[in-house]
Amino acid sequence: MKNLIFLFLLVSLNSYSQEKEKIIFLFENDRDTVINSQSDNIYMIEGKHTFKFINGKHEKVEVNFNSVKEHLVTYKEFLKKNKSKKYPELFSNYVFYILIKEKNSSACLIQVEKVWLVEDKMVD
Amino acid sequence: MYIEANGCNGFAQAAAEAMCEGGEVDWAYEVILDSSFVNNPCLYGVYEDMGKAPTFNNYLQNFEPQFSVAHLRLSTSTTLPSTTNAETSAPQNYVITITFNVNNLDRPRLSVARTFIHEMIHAEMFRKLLSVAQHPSIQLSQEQLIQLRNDFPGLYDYYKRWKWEVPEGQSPSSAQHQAMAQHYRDIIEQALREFDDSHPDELYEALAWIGLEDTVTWSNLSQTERDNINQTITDFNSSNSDNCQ
Repeated sequence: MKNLIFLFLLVSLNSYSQEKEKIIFLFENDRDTVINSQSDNIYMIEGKHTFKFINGKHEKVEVNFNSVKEHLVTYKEFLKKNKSKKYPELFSNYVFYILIKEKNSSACLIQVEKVWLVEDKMVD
Repeated sequence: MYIEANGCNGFAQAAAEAMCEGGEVDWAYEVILDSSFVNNPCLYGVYEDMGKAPTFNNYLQNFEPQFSVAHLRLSTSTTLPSTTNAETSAPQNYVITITFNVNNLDRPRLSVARTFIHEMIHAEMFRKLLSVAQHPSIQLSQEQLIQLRNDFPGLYDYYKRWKWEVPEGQSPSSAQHQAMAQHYRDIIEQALREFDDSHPDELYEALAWIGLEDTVTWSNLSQTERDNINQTITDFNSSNSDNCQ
């Protein structure tokens, strides 16, 4: 009986402590943009989807591009995967990364979080 | 006195700068009037008259300190493109700035008043967004987006559909203009009637459409309706009646 309870607790704890799924978007220099501020960077992919890197909260690591590229998804694929989930709550289920390809086969993997921006100004 | 009560916030700093440069500050509403705005008889005159109109004044009151974290600044420019009557900037250090093109004031006062209320509605939308962001500029986290959805569902819905998650096959567009075309034209018409009620209804209805021609609501009108609106506006602008400058 004790063993059974232990097993139940272990399974429960394990399911609670499961890591969030990682989502990696490719940053393409000729298409995407970075908005720099004093300590944070905002990465805009596919012209409109914005993700924020917060210095001190998120990390950047050097990786081998080939080892990561098979995990890349487009924003469209990400949304399609989550189309039955409530927006914007669905973003809580993931940890997001931006991958920037560098020289040779290296790349920079940057942890980010979703942020929603509005236009700088309205012109009439 | 203000700084003693409120601290040296972004508004106090911007207000002090404006006053040093000959501008005015409406301390009650926390509205900064740049000297270039105060010294322009057309703009300042329309502003004063619009302030007597309840609809415009209600929007102005939303910037009073007890209601808002946002402050309003009215300014001018001589370098805006000729196609631009005015622009409203998103909050910077809690200050929303409406900048008028002083080269585009050779038109009826009612037309300039139309620009005022149109820009004031943009400022109001930015104010709502800032009230959720609670940050000198607008960057919404997931929690804040949920709060926007709860507090201002209409604004949330338009931004989601037209900026943040534009459906495939649909081009991004101005969420604020889409919302204004669908829900705010009556308010624009009302503000203009309160400013000057001497014109036929079709003129107020036509003026309310200006600046909203890139919207779905406009494109849903028939070609005849659009032509009639454009003709009404053209006739009014060329009448040279009561020109502002």
